[in-house]
This record gives sequence, C-alpha cells and structure tokens, in this order.
Amino acid sequence: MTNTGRNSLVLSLLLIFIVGGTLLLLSNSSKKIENLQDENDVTEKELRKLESQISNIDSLMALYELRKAMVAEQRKVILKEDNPKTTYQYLLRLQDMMNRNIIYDFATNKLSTNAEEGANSYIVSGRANYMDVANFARYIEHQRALITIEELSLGSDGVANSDTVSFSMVLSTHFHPSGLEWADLKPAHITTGIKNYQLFRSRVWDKAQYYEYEEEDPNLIDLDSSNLIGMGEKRVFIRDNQGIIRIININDRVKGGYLYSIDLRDNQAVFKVDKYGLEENQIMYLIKEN
Amino acid sequence: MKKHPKQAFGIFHDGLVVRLVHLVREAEDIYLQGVDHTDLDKYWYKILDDPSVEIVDSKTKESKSSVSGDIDIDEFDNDYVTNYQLQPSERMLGSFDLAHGVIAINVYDDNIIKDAPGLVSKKEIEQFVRSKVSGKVYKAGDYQSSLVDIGGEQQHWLHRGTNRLLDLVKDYARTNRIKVFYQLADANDIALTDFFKCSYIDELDKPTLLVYLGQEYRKAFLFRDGEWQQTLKLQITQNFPEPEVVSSKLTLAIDSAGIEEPERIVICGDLANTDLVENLSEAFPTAEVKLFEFKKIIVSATDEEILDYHSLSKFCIPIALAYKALHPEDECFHKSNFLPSRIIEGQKEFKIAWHGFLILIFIFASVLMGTNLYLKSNQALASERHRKQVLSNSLAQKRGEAQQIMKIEEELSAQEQNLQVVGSVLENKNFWTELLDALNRRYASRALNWLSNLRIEKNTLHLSGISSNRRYVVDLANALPQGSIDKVTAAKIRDHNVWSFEIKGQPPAVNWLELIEADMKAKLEQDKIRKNNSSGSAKVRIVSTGTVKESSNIEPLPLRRMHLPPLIPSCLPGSGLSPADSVLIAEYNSFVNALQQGHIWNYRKIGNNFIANHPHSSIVPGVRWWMAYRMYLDRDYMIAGEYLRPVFKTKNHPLYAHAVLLRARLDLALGHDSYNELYNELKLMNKSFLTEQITLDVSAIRKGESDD
Repeated sequence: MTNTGRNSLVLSLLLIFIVGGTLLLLSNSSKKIENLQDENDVTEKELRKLESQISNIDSLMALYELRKAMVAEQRKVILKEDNPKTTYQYLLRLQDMMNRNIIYDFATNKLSTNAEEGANSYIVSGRANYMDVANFARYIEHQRALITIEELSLGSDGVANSDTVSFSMVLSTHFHPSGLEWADLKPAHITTGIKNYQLFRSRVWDKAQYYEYEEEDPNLIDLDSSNLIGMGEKRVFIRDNQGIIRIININDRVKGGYLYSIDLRDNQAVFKVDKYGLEENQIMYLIKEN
Repeated sequence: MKKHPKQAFGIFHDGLVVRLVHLVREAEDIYLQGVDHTDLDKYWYKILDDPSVEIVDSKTKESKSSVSGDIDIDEFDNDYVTNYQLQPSERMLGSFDLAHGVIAINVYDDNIIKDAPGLVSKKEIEQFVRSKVSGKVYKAGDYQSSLVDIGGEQQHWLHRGTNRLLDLVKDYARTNRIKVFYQLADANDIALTDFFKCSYIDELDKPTLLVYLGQEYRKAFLFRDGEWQQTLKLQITQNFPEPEVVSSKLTLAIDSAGIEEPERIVICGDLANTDLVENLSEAFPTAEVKLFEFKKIIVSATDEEILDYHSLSKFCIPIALAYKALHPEDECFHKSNFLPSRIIEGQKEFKIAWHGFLILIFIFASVLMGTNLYLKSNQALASERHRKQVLSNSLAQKRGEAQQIMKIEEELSAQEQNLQVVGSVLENKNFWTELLDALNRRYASRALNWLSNLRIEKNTLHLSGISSNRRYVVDLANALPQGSIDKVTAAKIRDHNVWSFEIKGQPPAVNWLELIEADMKAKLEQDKIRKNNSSGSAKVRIVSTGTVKESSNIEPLPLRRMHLPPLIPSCLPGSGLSPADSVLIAEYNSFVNALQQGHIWNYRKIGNNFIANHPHSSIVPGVRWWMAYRMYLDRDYMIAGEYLRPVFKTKNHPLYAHAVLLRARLDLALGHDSYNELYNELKLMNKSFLTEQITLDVSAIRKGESDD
C-alpha cells in the first residue's frame, strides 16, 4: 500500500471517527435538549396554572391589607384575651374619651372557664348623671371592643329636679384566640348619638325649684317673700324681703317666671311662674302699707 | 525516509578520512555528480591511538586552534588564510548543496554488536539489547537495531554509542541553517555487500570474494550463489601495507576461515590499485582479480579523483550508501537503517494523494458542519438551560405567591369567621343606645313625662314612670316592640292629676352584623375612591352626604390624636353685628371679655345666659362657636363638641366653615379619624380666609407637631 493510500485510509478512519463522534455528541446534546425542553414545557404548564391561580394576587393582597387595616378599625372587634384588669382599664379609657368621670363600683361576676375563648362577666354599679350613664352605655356598645351589656337597670333617685340616677350593668367581655390585642385597639368615631334629654328627671315637684342662674341673679325677685305695694298700668312696685322696693314692668322676669298682667280694678298683678314643674298663675294682691 | 529521492549524498568516514559522493537519479540512470574528501587530523573513535585526544567522549570536532605550532606553520598556506575559519569538513560539505538531496552516512563499525545468528524474535532482540545497553540508554532509545541476512540466516545487529559523522553533518546543517534530510545510516558491511550484490547481480554465479581495504576498515566478504556467506576480517595493521602483505593476509584469512579459494576477487577501498590487483592475481592464480566496477553508475563528474576505477574505488562505500539511499525499496538492499529513531520520526512528512484530499475535504466539511451543529446545539442547550433557570425562578416565585394567596385566603376566611362570631355574639345584644335614644326622643316631645325605673328581666324591658297625660302612656308603650301596659294608677301633685305607669316590652333589635358589613363596604368604597384619586386622574367626583362635589387629588392625612395650637387671629370669626343691635352688642362684648379672662366658668355663664335670652338671635351660633373654641383651648373637647353641634349642623350659616374647622380639630384631639374628611371638606369649600390656617394645620398633622 502506498503512503498516500495509507494516509487516505487513516484519514478515512479519522473521518469515520469524526463523523461518528460528532453524531454521538449531537445525539447526546439533542437528547439533553429534548429532556430540558420537556422539563421546561412541564414547568411552563405549571407556571400558567399558577399564574391563573394568582392572577388576582394584587387585588387579593389589597383586599387583605384593607381587611387587615379594617379589622383594627372594625366597628366591633373581638379581643384576644381578657381579664378584669384589662376590662376595668378599658372602661376607664372610655371615660377619658367621654371626658367624664363617672363614679361606679366594679366587680367580677363570672370568669370564663376556658382561658382561650369565651366571655368574662363583670358588674358595674353606681350613681351618676343619667346622660353620662347613657353615654357610657353608648361608648361601651359602640367602641370597638366586643363588650356586651347583658343587663342595665336605671332608677330615679326620687329627688326633685335631679338628673342623677342609680344604675347597674352586667357586662360581658368576649375574647377569642383570633382576636385583637388590647393595645391594637383604635378609638372609633361614634356616629350614633343619644338625644340629650334627662329621662329620669321629675318634671313636677312639691317644693319650689329654680334654675341655678335664677338663684344666683340678685335682680330677680322672689315673689313668695315679697309684697305688692303699688301698681300702675304697666308696672308694679314690690317690696322684697330686704325691704327694697323693686319696679317690675310687664314681661319683666322674676324668680321662676315673669309679670304677665296688671288688674288695676281688682288691685292684683298676675305672674306666670314655673316653680313646681307646671306653669301656674301666681297672683299678688296690693297691700296697703301704712 | 523519502521513497523516491532524486539526489543522494553518501558520506563515509574511515580512519582519518571523510569521503562524500553526490549521486543523482534521472529515471533509471544514476549519475555520479561529484566526489570529495577531507582528511582528519585525528581519529574520531580510536582514541587510544591518538595521543592528542584528552577527552574520551568529547564531541568530535576538528580543533580550531593550532595544536602543534611548528607543523601547522610549516603547512600554512594562503588558502588557509582565506578560509582560516573553515574546517576541512565544512569546506567539503559546503561545496555540495546538501539540502537538495538525502544524506546517507555510515556508522562506525566497532559500535555494532552482533547477536548470534537466528536470534531475531522480538523477545530475543529485546533481551539482547537490554544485555548490551545501560538502562538509561534503553529507556532513552539511544540505540538502533537491524536484521541482516548472512548466509541465508538472519542476524540481529545492534548499534550503540555516538555517530560522530552524523553529529558532524548535524552541526554543519545547524551552523549553516541548512535543512537536510537524513535518509540512511548503515553499517559498512551491509552497504558494501548490498551494493556489490546489486552491481554484480548477474555475475555472482561463482564464488566471489569482495575485498575492501580502507584506512581502518579492512574486510573481505565471501559470496556464493549470489549470497553473502561469510565475512573475513583482514588483520593488516600497517597504515599503508605493501601489496604482498595484503596478499598474504588475505590468504591467511581464507585459510583461517577454511574456505575454498574464490574464483573471483573484487577489490575496492583506499588501498585498492592495479599493483594490488596484479599481486593478488599472482597469489591467487585460479581467481579472477579485478577492481570494483561501478556498472550502475554513470560518472558525470570531472574530478581528478574519479578518473578511473582505481580512484573511484576509494569512494565505494559512500557510493554504496548514496545508491542505497536512492533505492530505499530495492530488494537488493537490506532494510537496515541505524539512524536514530527520533531523526527518522522527525523527518516524516505527511503526504496525501487526491483521494486523501477528497477525504480531507470531507473531514473539513464534517468538522465544519459538526462544529456548526454542535455550536448550535450548545447554544440551544444553553438557551434551554437559561430558560429552565428563569422558569425555575419564576416557578419558585409563583409558588411563593400561591402560598401567600392561600395564606391570605385562609386569613380572609378566618376574618369572615371572626366576623360571624362577632355577629353571633352581638345578636340581640347592645341595644341600649338605641333604646335610650328612642326613649329620650319620645319623652322629650312629651312634656311632664319621666321615668322612675328602667330594667330588663328575662329579656323583657320593664319601665315605670310618671305622666301627666294618660294618653301618653299608650303612646310610650307603643314605642317599645311588643310594648304593653302593666299598670296605670292616678296620683296628685299640687292638685294636679298625674299618672303613675308601668310598661313592659321587648328591646329593640340592632343588626350589628349588617352595620359592620355596611362599615366595611363604606371603607372599601373609600379605598376605591382613594385609589382612583391616586391613580393620576386630574379630577374625580366624590359623593359626600348626598351632594356631588368636584375634588382635586387630596392625599389623606396620617391618623393621629393631637391638640393643635390656637387659631391665627386672621382666621377667627368676627361678631357679624350691626350698629343697630346695641343691646346685643353690649351683652356680646361682656361675653367676649369673659372669654378673654382666665376664669373657666364665667364665660360659660354669660354665654349660656346669652343663648337663653336670645335663642333666635343670629349671633347665637357665634357665641356657641366661641364657647366651643374656648373649651377646645381648655381641652374640654366633649362639651365643646356639644356646644358646636347646632352650628355644625347648619350648613348655610356663615360660620359653618369655622365650625367644620373646629369640629376637625376636636376630632383630631379626640383621636377620631373623621378629621381627615373634614379637612378635605374644608379644602373643597375653598374659603380663602381659612386657607392659611388649614395649611398650617395639615402641615402640623403631617409632621405630628402637637401643641402639647
């Protein structure tokens, strides 16, 4: 065999090796690519599935954040835990919000046997202005902590012209492990109000009652301790208990009322007064002084 | 080894001479182009015979300095002056263009060791080599082996040691930067006998003795039946022996070998001449004695040295070497070559024919295509890997998000449940605010009615009180769900008939769950509006308390609980009184004076009197505002709110904007988040007299700068 022939043979073998090696290499590479493509296709399918599942993640996240924020601002929020100290502290905090100082007694009625969830019962009793008590109940009911007023009893003190009532409340503070910490409670803006009216104040009484300013105003004359000593068409002359003569025109105010009319024929002056809860005519007759 | 060289240079060293011949082949003809020789001043190998050699194994080189001054001076001539730097061998080699032919050299005969005939198997050769050369030389491969056919039996010849002739040529080539091709390094015996057989191939039918008489190399080779049968070493010690000495020594050798007298004797070498031929003819009368005839060589050279066979026979071995080099595949020649293998390997050339080129093109195309495909494949692989990485990252992220969603959904579900729990707890509870408000409103519109007791027993409300009118009792009972009258009794107070009553009924129902959900819906709506506002629309429409207003983007204020500094004087409301209201002015001034005093109750008393005395006066809202403002400054926020409430409810009043501002401040002080809406409302009102104050307030709220 010639040298060139041998070389050609060697080159042919080399060619075969190169072709074989290249094919092998390409085959391996192709298999790897196919495997990777298959894996990637599976991953892509899974991704598409997940993407469809989480397409609303932004809105859901926003809703979640909003809900989370709203939980703290929700109208009523159940608490995570409770004990008499926290409830009492909360009631004092409500008074601070109300800017009122209501005097009451506080006692634990019944504690929940389950420390994780349930409700503790407390009794609050005392005496206070009716509107303060009403607003206290309003704050308890409308502030965020889930405290229910199981019972409320109000009783008039029976004192005339008094706004004070005796009251007692049975409160239940509810708690649950999914609830909020006391510290995270935010004050709520209460839109619900109670009409300002003294429901328990006696409107008719046996003894004369005057407004405070009437009591304190020295210009107002007390008809019960004064005498009508003179009268004209439009004014009367009255001597008070200190002997001072006062001139009262028609419609001028006196303690508990005002001068309504003058009857020169019968020598009497008619005052409209409201000293007992009912408007009455108080008539003063002219007394001839010597 | 070149297969068909055109030119060959045979270089032969023997004793103190180096001979060189130049053969050229043209078709089947071999031309002798030139010959030359150079004499050496000392022996290369026979060191003991040369006293001037001090270093035993030093590299062979002619000394460039004068060893013995006197002799050199005597032999000094002008030519040497011209080429004084050139050595004789360099001059000789330089006169031939060695690069155009192949080099064939001989090896020193004493460096060849011969194994016993017949021991030519691979194992035997290896064993022989190992026994003759050191381990270091064996490992380095510094030895050469050849098989020689002598007398029909193969023999292993081993060459070891240096080849100084080769070194000489290599030095020359390196020094002169000439690329030479070493074709052959052969033993004298082999080259000579092969060339003889080739030259006398048709005349070897009778026993022939080839005698070579060189300066050092002197041997006789017996040929029978055309084959080299035996080698006779001639023990001639003289440098220039007489023909008789040669004849006798040859006779002695033949006798010693016990061979018959040859029928032909062919003489060559330095000592071969016609005298010797005549002498040998006499000594061997039956034999035909001749000088070596170079039958296959055409002498084209005109050198004096080769004018006849006598002269040419000195160049017998270099011619034999060159001839063998020109015919590497000739069957006449042994396949022996004692060139170092590294030289042979280093000279190999890769030659290919047209089919080789074709295959090379295929290889190139295959490699190109394969590389291209492989690169593309790699690129695709890298791309897929990158894609996989990206997808994996995305998948991990999406899975995280999916988990987050699940968590959020769980949380939302828990919130829903929590809401349900709250709703169920509050069912039929916390109705007292509704109840008391309803009762207050009902009683407030009915004079001379009041309660003395209110309680709940077994989910039934019990109310007892006094009424001046019996009809009212029925009316009150109707105010309660399922209300009924238990008892109504008559009594007298100051001769007035009053009625003591007892009523029972059910507490009003409050749907807390609905309220909570309504709250949440409202907050969701607010959130939507806020988002719409912040999404960049220049103006949006917001719905507030039933009226539609234009609003620009308003950023919500942070939620705080703080007390702000007093209003700046330019933003305080005026009295709004005209000169005709002189009485009112006097009272109002007295109230204003009280406001400015430090007494905490005085202004309240005067203010209350003013309100009571002039309930329908247009100044009352102003008085109420000032009282509320003073209470705000005294931090009595709740009462301030109560005083402000009537003003706050009258939107058409000139003081409404001031009322809103004060209400906003009160809410801020109480920690109610509604101040945000109120400040927004103030901004929408666009009241220039309050702009500065609103800006200050908003800035203080954002910075959290309280007046504490």
